[in-house]
Amino acid sequence: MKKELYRQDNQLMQDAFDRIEVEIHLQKKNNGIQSLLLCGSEPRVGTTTIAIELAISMAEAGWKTVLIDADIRKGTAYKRNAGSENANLVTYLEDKSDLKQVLIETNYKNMKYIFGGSGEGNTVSLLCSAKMQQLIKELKEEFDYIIFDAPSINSVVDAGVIGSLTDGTIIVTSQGSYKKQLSQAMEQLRHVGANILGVIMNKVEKAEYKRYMKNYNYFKDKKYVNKKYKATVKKGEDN
Amino acid sequence: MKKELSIDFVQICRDLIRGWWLIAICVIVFGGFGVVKTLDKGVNSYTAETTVYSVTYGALDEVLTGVSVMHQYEHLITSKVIANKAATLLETKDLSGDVIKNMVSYEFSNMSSSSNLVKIHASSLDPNTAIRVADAVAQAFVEHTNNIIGGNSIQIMDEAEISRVYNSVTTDRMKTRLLFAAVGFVLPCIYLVLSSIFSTKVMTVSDAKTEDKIKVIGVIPHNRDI
Repeated sequence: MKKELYRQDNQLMQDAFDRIEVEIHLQKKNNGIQSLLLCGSEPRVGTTTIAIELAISMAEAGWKTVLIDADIRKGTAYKRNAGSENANLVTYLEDKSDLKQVLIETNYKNMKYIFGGSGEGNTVSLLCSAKMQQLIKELKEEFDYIIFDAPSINSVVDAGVIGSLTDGTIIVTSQGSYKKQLSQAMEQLRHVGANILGVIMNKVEKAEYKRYMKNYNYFKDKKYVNKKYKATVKKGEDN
Repeated sequence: MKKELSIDFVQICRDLIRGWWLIAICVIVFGGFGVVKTLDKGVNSYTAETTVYSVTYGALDEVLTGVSVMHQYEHLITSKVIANKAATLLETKDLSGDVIKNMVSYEFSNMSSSSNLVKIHASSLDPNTAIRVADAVAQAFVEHTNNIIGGNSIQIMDEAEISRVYNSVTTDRMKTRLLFAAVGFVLPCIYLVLSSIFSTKVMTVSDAKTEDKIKVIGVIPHNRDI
């Protein structure tokens, strides 16, 4: 079985994720951060999209990366990345399958994926289990980065449980989401002892993005095109 | 915990631009209300003017007496005596002495006490009535003062003509409409500015930054904008 994952084919978007990748890489280099939890300040801020993009970005950079769908409360029908019913995070935590079975190949060379499955009311005890700690330990030996994609901390407690086990936590928020939800998310994560690395702000309007990134179109703006290259192109057109 | 209120002018401008539709709707609604409110065309008020003068030729005594009498008896123009006399001259039941008295006013052509010209005004909603009343009052005044001085030096110079038409509604109509439209512009602007200042949403990168001084490690543009 192979999980097909895709990222936005856009240089601006890829550049934004490359910046986050650099930040995380520095965290690994300086503080030994290897396992990461991504959770939203509130639902629908785009946590899953960011987790996928980030994992692909890291895999493409040559880092062995595993992306884990840690939303084990949602039924398959509600999931964007629904998959294997027999080998997933839940079956692994329930001791019904081994790590080799749950690690799914993806269309990216250095990236593997673990489906979430459905915990059906048993999620907290599964996530708090020794098996979960064992999973992180084993994955750390095999992969450079382990990324957990968890539901919003303000919706369910799962992110808090995982955040206490991972080396770092990143909160995803989006333009237009509530400040209070963001503050509460941070408060809850700090309460469980999670190491908050920072916030990723998603769905930022172009005007605000331009304000934040002054030379955001550096690689596109014609004023940066080499004069010699311009002359060559013009010559080619004339001929 | 004490919370700081930060004002981001760029964000306020952006919110105002984003809320252009609200501003436009309010300007249209309030402006429309102003138009409806000023649809009443109002009533015209006409003022007729006639001029009475003291002749300046003939014996000096007579001239000076005429000017002096005009100034001494000027108040008679708006008196009941003259008004009743004018009513008699008009021979109209609708225009009694009291009615005419309320229609009439006067002024000298200049403020000097040697002015020999007095302008008599009569105002009415009907221009013909205004003209007739002005003429009648002028005639009554001339006859009355000439009787006093026993001469003929006070005379009517010009027949009455409409000198002024006043419509209060027309004058203020445009002003009222503009005022309503201005209110329609200002109110949503105030609403947008206040909602921007007191917004509880994460609208800028610094909004996410200032919360607990947390670091923003990434900003992802909206995919609809790229």
